[in-house]
Amino acid sequence: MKKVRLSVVLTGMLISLLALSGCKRKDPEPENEQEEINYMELIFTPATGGNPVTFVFSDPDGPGGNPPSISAPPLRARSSYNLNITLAKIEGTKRQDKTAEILREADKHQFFFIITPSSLMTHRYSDADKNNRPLGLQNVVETQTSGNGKLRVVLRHDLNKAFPNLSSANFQQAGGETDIDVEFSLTVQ
Amino acid sequence: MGCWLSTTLVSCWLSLQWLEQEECERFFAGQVIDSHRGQPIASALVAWEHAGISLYTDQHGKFEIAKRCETTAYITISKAGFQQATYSLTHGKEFVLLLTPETIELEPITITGEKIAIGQASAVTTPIPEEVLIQRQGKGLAEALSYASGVQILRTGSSIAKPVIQGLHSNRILVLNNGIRQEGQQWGLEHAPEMDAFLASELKVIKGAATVQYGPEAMGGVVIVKPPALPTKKGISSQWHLQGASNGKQGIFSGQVSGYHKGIGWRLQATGKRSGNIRTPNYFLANTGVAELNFSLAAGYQKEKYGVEVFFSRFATQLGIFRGAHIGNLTDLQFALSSPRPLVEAQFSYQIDNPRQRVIHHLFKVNGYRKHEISQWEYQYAFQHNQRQEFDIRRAGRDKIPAMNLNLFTHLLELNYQTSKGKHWQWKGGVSGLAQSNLNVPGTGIRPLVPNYWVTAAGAFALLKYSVPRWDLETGLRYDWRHLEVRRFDRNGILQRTQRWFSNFSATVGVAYHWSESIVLRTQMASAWRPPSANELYSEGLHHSAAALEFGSDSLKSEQSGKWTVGIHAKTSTATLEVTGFAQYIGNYIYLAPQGETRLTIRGAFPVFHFEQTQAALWGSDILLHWQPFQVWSVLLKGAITRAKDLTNNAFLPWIPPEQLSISLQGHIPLPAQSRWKNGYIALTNLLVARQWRTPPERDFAPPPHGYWVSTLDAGVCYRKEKNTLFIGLTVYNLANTTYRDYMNRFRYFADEQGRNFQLYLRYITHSP
Repeated sequence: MKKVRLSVVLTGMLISLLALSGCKRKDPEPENEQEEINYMELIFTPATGGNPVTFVFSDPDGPGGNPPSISAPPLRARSSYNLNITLAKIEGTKRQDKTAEILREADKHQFFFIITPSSLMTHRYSDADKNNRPLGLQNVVETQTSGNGKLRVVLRHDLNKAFPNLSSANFQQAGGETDIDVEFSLTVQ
Repeated sequence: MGCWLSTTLVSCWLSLQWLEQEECERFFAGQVIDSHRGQPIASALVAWEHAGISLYTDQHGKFEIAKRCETTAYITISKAGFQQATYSLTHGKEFVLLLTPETIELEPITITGEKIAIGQASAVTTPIPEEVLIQRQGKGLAEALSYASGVQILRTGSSIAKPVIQGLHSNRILVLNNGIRQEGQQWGLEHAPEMDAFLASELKVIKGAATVQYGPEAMGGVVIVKPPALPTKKGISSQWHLQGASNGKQGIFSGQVSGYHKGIGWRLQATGKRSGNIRTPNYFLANTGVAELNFSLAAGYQKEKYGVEVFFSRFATQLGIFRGAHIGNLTDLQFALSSPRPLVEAQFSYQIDNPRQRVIHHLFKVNGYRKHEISQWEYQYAFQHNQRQEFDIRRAGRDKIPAMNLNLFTHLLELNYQTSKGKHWQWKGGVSGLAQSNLNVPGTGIRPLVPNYWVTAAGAFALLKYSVPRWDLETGLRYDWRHLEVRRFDRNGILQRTQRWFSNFSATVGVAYHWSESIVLRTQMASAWRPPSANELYSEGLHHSAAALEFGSDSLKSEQSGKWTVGIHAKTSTATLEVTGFAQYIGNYIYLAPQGETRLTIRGAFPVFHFEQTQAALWGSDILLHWQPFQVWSVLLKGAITRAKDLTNNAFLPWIPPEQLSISLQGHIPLPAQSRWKNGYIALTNLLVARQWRTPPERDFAPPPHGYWVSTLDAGVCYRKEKNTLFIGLTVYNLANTTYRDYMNRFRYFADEQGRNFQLYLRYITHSP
C-alpha cells in the first residue's frame, strides 16, 4: 500500500487552515429591543374635572447610560384623582405603546403604590384582571393635607396574585420579580 | 456556506488518508533497571501472562515484545535476588522499568507510562479512580473531578457546576475533551462544561500551568477527559449504566458498544438523563429540572506504523434555573436575602420552565499518527459547534424567544512531532491553528451580551526532556498569536468594527526526582497567559442574575501568570500520600471592580461594576492520604487550602473555595476467593467545609455562609461471571439531611443546598468473542 508523505499532510493542513480563516464575515443585525420599557406616565385627572397632572419617568438610552429624567408636578390637597398609567418605549421620535402588553397579561402583573408618609394620599385600584384581581393601570387616589413625601410605583411580574391580603406592604412575599420600580417625589399643596 | 465547504474538504481529505492505511502491529519495549544501583538487569524474565508471552532481557536489560492489536501490555518482571514487579506498558515507547533488590524491603509497585510522557513528567497530575468515576459520572464532569484534592466546584444552583482548580476556573483553566480544547461559552460563571461525563473512561487533572503544550488559558490547570481506546482485536464489548436518584427523581441511562471488524475498531455511545425539582431538607427548589441526551460515534484504523481515528459527539442539555433566584432588582435581591426560604413555593415537577438554558455542543474530529523507529507524528483536526440559548421570563409571548442565542464555531488544527535521541533526550514540537467565529442569532429582541467576533490564532511550541535514572528534567517554550475582530452596535446604535492583536511567550521548566521507587518529587515553574474574553471586553449593561450594571473595557490587556507547583508522591505497602503546594502570580488579573456608585434605571438603582485589571496572587496546598493498615479497613483523607489576594488593592479575591477536609472510612468486605462477588465495600465520608472569612465584603451582597459538615454513605459490590461484570453501588448523600449553604454556590443568597439523596447505580460490562 501507498505510504502517506508527511509533506502532503502538512500542505493539506496549511491549505485548510487558510480556507477556514477566510470565511466571510458578516455584520451583525441591530436588535430591536421591543420589550424594553423606558417611559412611564402617571396621569392624575381630577375627579371633578380640570387639567390633568402628569408624572413622567423617561430613560431613552436604557439602563446604565445617561441618568433618567423624572418629573412630578404638585397635586392639590384634599382632592380625588383618577390615576392612569401608560407605558411606552421611546426611540428617537418614535413612541411605541407598552400599556397594552401589560393589559393583555393582566393576570401576571400588578402595580403597587407605596406612599410615604401614608397620611399624604390614599390609593385604591379601579381595574381588575380576568380573575377579578386588581391590576393597577387604573386607580383612584385621594390626597389629604398638604405636605411632601414619596410615591414609589412598582410593577411586579409573574407574582402569586392569590397571595392572602396582597398589598403594597407585602407584595415581595408573593414572589415574582420587579419590572418597574420608580420613586417620584410627591408634593401635595 | 464557505465555512461548511472547507470543513467538508478537510474531513474528506483526512478520510482519504485513513483509507490508505494497513493493519496494526504493536511493539512494547522496556529497559529493566536495578532501582538501587541504576544498572541494567540482564536475563530478567519478562512475562505477559494474558498474551502467553515470556522472554528474557538482553545484556543491556532491554526487551521488546511484538503483539498485534493490543494497546496495553501487563507484564511481570522477575529475577533472582529482586522483587517481582508488575507494570502496564503502552505501545510504541520504551519504558524504564525498575526492579528492587530483595534486600530492600519494599512491596512491588505499579508504575504506569506517566513517568515517560513528555510534557507531563514534572507536572502534578491527579487521576480520578475508575470506581469514583462510576459513582460521580451521573452528576457531571465537575462533580467527578472534585474527587481530586485541590479541585472544587463553582455552582449556580443545583443544575450548573464548573470545576475550580486551585482557585481558578472558567477561562483560566482548560478542558481537553478527547484531546481537543473544549471551546464553548466558558467565560460565563453559569455556563457548565458541555460534555457527557459518561464518555470518559479516563479523567485526570493537571494542577499546573500547561500552556506550553496546550495553548493559552491553561493557567490554573488542565482537565483531561479521554474516552476508552478503540478496540484492536475481534469481539464486541459493551458497557451499560443505569442510575436512579431519589432527590429530583433522577433517572440516567448510558450505553456504550464497541467492537472490531475488518481492521476497524468502532464505538457507539449514548446517554440520557432526566431529573426534576431538587429538594433541600425543607423545601423544593422551583424549576431545577434537567434533561440531557447525548451520543457519540467513533471509528479507527490502527496499525503499528500509522493509524487514523474519526470521532463525532453531540451533547444536548436543557436545564432549568432556580426560579427563586430570578430577581428584577437590588430590592428584590435584598428581600430574598432576608427571607429564610425562597419566595417561590414549589412542588415536585419534571417540568422545565423559564428561566432555562438550552445548550448543544457538537464535536467532530479526525486524528492520526505516523510512527517511525524512534519518532512519531500526530495530527488532528477538530470542528466544534456550540449553540447556547438562554430563555428568560418575558412579556407578551416572548417566552419562547431566547434572550441570548449564540453560535460558536471553532476549527482547530494541530500537528505534533516527537522523537528521542539516545537514551536520555526526548523532544516534542508542534504547531496549531484555530479559526473561531461567535455569532449572535438575530431576533432575540435584546442587545447581545457578547458581540459577534472572529478569532484567528496560531501557536508553536517545543518541549525538551532529559531523563536519567531517577531524574527527569523538562523545559519548553511556546509562542502564540491571536487576532480578534469584533463587530457590534454600540449604545448609540452605530456599528463598530474593532481589531485586536494578542501575542505572547509561555515557558516552562520542571524536574521530577524519583528518590526511590516509592517516593517521587515533582516541581515545575510555568508561565501562562490568556487574552481577555469577549464579555470582559464588551459587556455593557444590566446583568440580571448579579443585580449589577457591568461594563467591559476594550483596552484590557492579556493576563500574564507564573505558577509554581511542587508535589510529593509517596507510596508504601499500606499508604499513599500526595502533597501538592502551589504559588501563582497573575499580572493584569481581570476582575469586576465595584465603582462605589449606583445608577438609576426603570427597575430601580443598581451598583456599577467595571472590568479592571490588578495584580493577583494565589497560593495554597492540598493533600491526599490513603492508609490501609488492615486488609479490611482503610482511611482516605483529603484536604485543600487556597488563598487569593488582590495585591494592588490589598483585598481578597471573591469566589475562592474555603478550606475543606474530607475524611473517609472504608470497610472492605472480605469475600471468599472463589465467590463471584468481588470487591465489596462500604464507606462513610465526612466532608467538612470551613466558613470563607477571606472575602471582599464590598463585592458581595451577603456575608459568606457558615461552615458545614456533610456525611455520605457509599456501598458497592461487583458480580463477575465469565467475562461479564455487574457493579452495584448505593450512595446516600447528605445522610443527616443537613441544612447548609455553600460559599461557592452563586445561588447561596436564595436557597439551601440539596437534602438527602439516595442514589443507586448499576454498571454492566460484557465481552463476547
